[in-house]
Amino acid sequence: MTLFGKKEKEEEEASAADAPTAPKSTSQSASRNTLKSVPEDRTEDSTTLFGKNLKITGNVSGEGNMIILGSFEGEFNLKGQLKVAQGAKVKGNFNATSIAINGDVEGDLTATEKIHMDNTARINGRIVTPKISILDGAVFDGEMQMGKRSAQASRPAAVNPSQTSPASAAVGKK
Amino acid sequence: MELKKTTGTTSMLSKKINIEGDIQGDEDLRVEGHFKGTIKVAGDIFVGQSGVVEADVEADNIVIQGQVTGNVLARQQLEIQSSGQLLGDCKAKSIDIREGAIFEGRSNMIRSSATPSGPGAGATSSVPSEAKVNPK
Repeated sequence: MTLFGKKEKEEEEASAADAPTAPKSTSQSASRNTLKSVPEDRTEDSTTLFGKNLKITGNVSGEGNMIILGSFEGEFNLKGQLKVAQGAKVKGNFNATSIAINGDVEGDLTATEKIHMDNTARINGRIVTPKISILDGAVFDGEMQMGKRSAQASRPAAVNPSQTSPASAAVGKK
Repeated sequence: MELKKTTGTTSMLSKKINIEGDIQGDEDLRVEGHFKGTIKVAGDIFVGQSGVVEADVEADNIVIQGQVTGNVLARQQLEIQSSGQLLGDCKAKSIDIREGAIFEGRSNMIRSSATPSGPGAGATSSVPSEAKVNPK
């Protein structure tokens, strides 16, 4: 009996040992099957990709992640992450949840979460973001705003008249 | 799938993305989102089931599973799959329209004997076969 009991235990153990492996294999094959049979579901969720040899002009809006490898010019409004890859050239106004830059950017960048500039990034323009990280080697010519909304933007505007008035006075002297 | 994998990458315009403007280049492009404007590529275009294209499209091979409104020029093959819909004129070297597909417009073939250049305006010689398939 004890032998039988042991055998049963062993079998249980063996089956228990098998059990986790068996579902694994089935799940693996299932996942493989789904990969094969429904590639579109994956691609639908996947990020939008604009390749190296693509030139796009116009307005982009929507939801999802986007990677730009080529060149883009225009308005950009995205709920999601934008990546400007190394070698990419973009121009225009960009709004996104988060922006990562490895390429060339000319224009305004606005992120609701964060902006990351990698060491190959070159940016010429204005940046508005609550969080920023800039790696050594990145080139940034322009203006940065990290405060809340336009509260800070109004301050320089308030300062400007006092600065401009002497300038206008100088013009008046001429 | 239907697209032959060429050497370059395949660009992807995914669902929930709207683009209004122009796309140019030499690359394959897959459209699952919404595009309005013009597309001109030296590559293949694949309009997926969720893809909506309101544009004049020029490419080597064009596969339509979604909706295309506009004139289409396929330097090689145009394929409208059963879920596909093309409202507009097409010009192609060869056409493959599956059962269930919707096509309203003129069809114009590129004859291999004729010079394949000047594709846009050249609607001169070839017989315009008026193929109309009503959606209902």
